[in-house]
Amino acid sequence: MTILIIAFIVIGLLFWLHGFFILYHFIRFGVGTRPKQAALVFFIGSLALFFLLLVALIGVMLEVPSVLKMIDITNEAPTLWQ
Amino acid sequence: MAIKLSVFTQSHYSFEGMRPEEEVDIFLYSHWLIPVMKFIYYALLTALPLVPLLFFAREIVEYEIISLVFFVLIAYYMLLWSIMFYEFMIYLLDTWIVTNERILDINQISFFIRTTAELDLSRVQDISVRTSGFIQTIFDFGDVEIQSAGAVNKFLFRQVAHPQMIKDKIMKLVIEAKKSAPQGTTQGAEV
Repeated sequence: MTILIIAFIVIGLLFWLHGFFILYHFIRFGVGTRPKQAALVFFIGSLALFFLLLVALIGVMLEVPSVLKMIDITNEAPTLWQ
Repeated sequence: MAIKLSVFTQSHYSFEGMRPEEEVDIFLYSHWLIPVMKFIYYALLTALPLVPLLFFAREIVEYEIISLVFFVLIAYYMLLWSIMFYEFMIYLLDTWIVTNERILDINQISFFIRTTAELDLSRVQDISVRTSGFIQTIFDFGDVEIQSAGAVNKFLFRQVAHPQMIKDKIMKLVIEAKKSAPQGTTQGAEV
């Protein structure tokens, strides 16, 4: 579970850092309306994707017993690889 | 609110280093077919994980790992989204501007790496157009090459739409600039 939370934090940080650079370039160096429109689309899409990732993380947390059952190869229960 | 939103619809072609009396006559990106081809490539990459997902659908439901698969899928889409917009950013910031005074070649290489070359219109000696291949001929795009009088490198507008029309427009501007510019005061520079 901790691995997933760490993955979420790392993915989120890298995603928003990269996203900040893209938005910065669009706003700072963009000439005309197109870069501004692209920046808006990118920002809205990024928010939506990040929200979906958060929803997925909450979903995984609620499914913890199933996930643990699947990743625990010492468990007697049938796993995805057996 | 309407005034604030106008930045998305009515923003003027102003750029860094623009002179007060300067007016933008031509503003160019590469032809729209270039980003569309990339968009098709990313659309294929978006559909790619759906194949194994459909293949293992029964196992995913059986082992109740839908959310875990969803998490990995969204992380993959976030990566695609970032890369796609990075490329789109490079496309939108890689521009050519022709004003009533000069020609600017703004080249965005990557994050924080950017070159701007400029050439005074009165220094332009020759303009040539190159359209090669079936696609470029059908969609009317190609390269416009501008040769200057000095030691400044050639200016190349890569894969721009309606190259012949652009060449004619620039030639008109060059003639006007040469008429109005006093002899011996023109220069070319690279920043």
